[in-house]
Amino acid sequence: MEIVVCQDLYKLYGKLVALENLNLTLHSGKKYGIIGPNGAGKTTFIKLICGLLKPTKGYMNVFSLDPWKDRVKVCERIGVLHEETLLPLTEKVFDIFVYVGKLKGLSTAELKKEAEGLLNIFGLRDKIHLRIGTLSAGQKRRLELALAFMGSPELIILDEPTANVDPSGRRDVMSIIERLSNEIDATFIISTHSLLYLEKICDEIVFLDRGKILVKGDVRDIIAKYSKPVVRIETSDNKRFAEEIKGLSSVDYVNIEGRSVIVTIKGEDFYKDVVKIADKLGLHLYRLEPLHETLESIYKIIIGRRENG
Amino acid sequence: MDKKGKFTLVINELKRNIRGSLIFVLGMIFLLIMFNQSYLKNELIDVSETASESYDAFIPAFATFAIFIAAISSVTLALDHERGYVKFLLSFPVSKYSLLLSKILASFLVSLFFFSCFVLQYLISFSIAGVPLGENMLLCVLISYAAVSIFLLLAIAIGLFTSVVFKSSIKSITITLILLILWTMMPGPLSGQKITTITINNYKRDLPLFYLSPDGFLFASIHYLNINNPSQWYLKRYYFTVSCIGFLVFSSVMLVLLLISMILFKKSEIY
Repeated sequence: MEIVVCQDLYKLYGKLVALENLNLTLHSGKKYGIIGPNGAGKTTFIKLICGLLKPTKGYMNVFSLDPWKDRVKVCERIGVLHEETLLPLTEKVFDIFVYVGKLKGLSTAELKKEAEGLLNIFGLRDKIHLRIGTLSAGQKRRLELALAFMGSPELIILDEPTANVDPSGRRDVMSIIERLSNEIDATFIISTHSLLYLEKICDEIVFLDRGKILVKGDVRDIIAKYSKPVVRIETSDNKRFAEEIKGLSSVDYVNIEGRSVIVTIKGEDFYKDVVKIADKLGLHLYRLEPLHETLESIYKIIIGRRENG
Repeated sequence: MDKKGKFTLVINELKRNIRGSLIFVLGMIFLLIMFNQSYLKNELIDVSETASESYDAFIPAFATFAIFIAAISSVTLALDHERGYVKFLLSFPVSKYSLLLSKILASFLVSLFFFSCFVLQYLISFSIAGVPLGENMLLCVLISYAAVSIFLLLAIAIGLFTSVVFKSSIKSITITLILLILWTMMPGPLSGQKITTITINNYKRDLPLFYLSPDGFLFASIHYLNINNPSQWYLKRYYFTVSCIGFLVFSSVMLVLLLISMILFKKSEIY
């Protein structure tokens, strides 16, 4: 089932083009990652889905509804986490659960059960009597995330779920999202710069840049499509070895990273050449290991291509 | 959003308004009641035969205070915008109309509570002093509540209008206060009466012209009840007429401002 459909969608802020001619269909039950550099239009796209912004031109529907006109009906079926922390700081943790639960139309028994479950999952069980203002940035983020999951939404939209969270907190947050995304039968749209986690969680990636879709498709397919064979080599003298192989026709790019030489290969004779050169220089080959490309390295490749025209 | 959700929204908004203004409002009520006690005792109770007789001199100042509280309470919409609270609420199934109505209702109830404290204090003070309430008292109170309700809603409409148009708390509060000061400082019984001359039955009559300010309007609409002398019936007719016109003018401006605010808020994008 199609959950989000955009056709020739434009969003302009005055003269600034945030989204340009966006054509995109997102299907139910899938996990989508929205990636792209800052200013690519990711947050604008999410706000359009939530009905907070009105498209300048084009067509968008969510659950076959116009989100700008039927925002309330759309919001009944979605859970959203915005990029910035928006919580009312004077409220108590449990009170905000009750408040949001009632706004989502849950009965007292339902919201109590859901709140307890989510508080446990997000590690906020012992914070229920505290005012939100007294929580740390990471705890506030987890609380907002928990609220996004309240009421069993069909579509969960997470915009930068790890914003303002320290590295260890980031790992915790993304692990919880990964776990819930496997347990809950909902469609996920996640926009984040934590590409390592996105690669684990998402089925499909939409790569936005300057308001346009650069790449879209299955995560594994994209990685396969843009991957180049990369090898990690360790020798008894990495510097000499790197200098020597730079000129080979089977080598595309050489870089020394710590104790390893990372080589991007372009020819099939590479492995033979490596053995020959090691012999010639009298070096010991300690390690020769093919590396797998990640979404993060693919991101760099795609951005690099765009910058080089 | 169902009825329960709407009710929750109003209650929560009311809670936030009370929490935000509780110390300020309670402190103000306490100080004004302290100050007011001596005014009631020295100026009104000793010279009044009934409580209703001096009600028109007492109530306008407190209606003006309530108006400021209502406006400031509603202008917090701009603050909510800046803090992202509006975006937070609109990410749930909350309609923009419900959000505005909850703001209106919460601001109205808080400021009406403030006003009621003074009406109650007035009635209690006269009862303790043993001065009879007077046969018009109930009508006086009802009329004052009707008039003050319109004023409070108008003040709220001004606050919401500036919030929706400017979306900046500093700008909205400044402009709201300027508009309220201009409105409440219009010539009235507190700032000296301006006189106009009308002709009734070929006789020229001097009449006070102060019904556009809240205190002047309240004075006119309540004082009207206390005129029983047939020789002053022209004044009674005049007060009645200006009261009716005042009600119409204030209600119309209030409704127009509320309507414009609602339409603008409905059309506004949340960035």
